[in-house]
Amino acid sequence: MRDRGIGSGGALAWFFQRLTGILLVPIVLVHLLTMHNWTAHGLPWAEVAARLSNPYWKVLELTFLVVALYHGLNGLYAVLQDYVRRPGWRLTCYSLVTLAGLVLLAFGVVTVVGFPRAELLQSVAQSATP
Amino acid sequence: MQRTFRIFRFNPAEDQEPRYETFTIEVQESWTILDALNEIKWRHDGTLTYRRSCRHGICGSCAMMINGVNDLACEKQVAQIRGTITIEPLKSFPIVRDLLVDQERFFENLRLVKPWLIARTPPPTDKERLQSPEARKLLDGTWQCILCGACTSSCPVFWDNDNFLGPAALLKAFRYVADSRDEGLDARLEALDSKYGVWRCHTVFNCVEACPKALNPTDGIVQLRRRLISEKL
Ligand code: FES
Repeated sequence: MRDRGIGSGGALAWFFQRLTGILLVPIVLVHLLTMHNWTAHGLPWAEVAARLSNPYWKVLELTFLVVALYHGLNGLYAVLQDYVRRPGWRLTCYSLVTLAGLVLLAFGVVTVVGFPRAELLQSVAQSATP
Repeated sequence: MQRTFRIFRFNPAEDQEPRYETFTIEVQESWTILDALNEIKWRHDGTLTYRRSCRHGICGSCAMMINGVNDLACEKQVAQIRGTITIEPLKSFPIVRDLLVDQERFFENLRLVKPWLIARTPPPTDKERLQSPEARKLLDGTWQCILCGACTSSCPVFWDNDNFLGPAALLKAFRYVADSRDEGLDARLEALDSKYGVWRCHTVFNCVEACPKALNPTDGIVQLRRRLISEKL
């Protein structure tokens, strides 16, 4: 019986790939210009710390984290689907990609939310106050 | 004028491996590739096998790979190509013999998208199901498909994925989905909105380059996607 791939259509995966792709354009630009600052003065720790203690910057970096992870891993899974044909192996790939996503997300969230360490509590308190 | 043709030969009943055979023949200025193949078959080697019927680009029988590009043998002119002309069967279909391929998978995919008008509304009793000229115009670029398979066999996703419907079937689906008289989107969803339907296309655009009728299957696929997404949201 021919596998028609019914069910997991891929409409949402396709749609969110486009959506995240569009979001990534401005976010990556801002990220590159601020975090990969190649101008003369380099990237002092204090500058990064100052920026990341601002909740708006944190929200931006967290958005970047989620959007980039989704876009990258969803794209990777789309490519894998072209090469991996056995349903069992596909499920394995899907699980590994999802797991990688979750682990990287956890690392990312801890890094962004908890940076800079000394001001962790303060910044959490800041972003919690309406 | 002498021209050299390097032709893919394979007879699964006898040959272990495909091989290429070279024929140098006298051709006329105005000949198509099909004329040259006929000349070879009729005067040089009667065992050369290929499919053709109408010899004027309408039946879709004679699609093959000519110097690496899918085209209709009966439309491609010998004079359009310089040097040796290599002729091979359409990629990714099982070879029956020489340039003749088994297109069953291609037609099975076509059947899956239900390529006919699906209408629940009963037709008017006094006239045909009419359509405005504007609505009819929307179908231009879809109905001209002659089902030759040049696009589908040029698609890398189709080469690699046994279940992908391929550009021809998807363009045909779009031809009906875009038809103002058709009410069959639901009936086609199972095939279209699947892992092997519109979402599998990677917009490689090979199909657009391959189509001998200058149609744009990728555009049809993208419009189908838009329709499916707006249907979902
Ligand atoms: S023979 Fe009919 S399309 Fe070429």
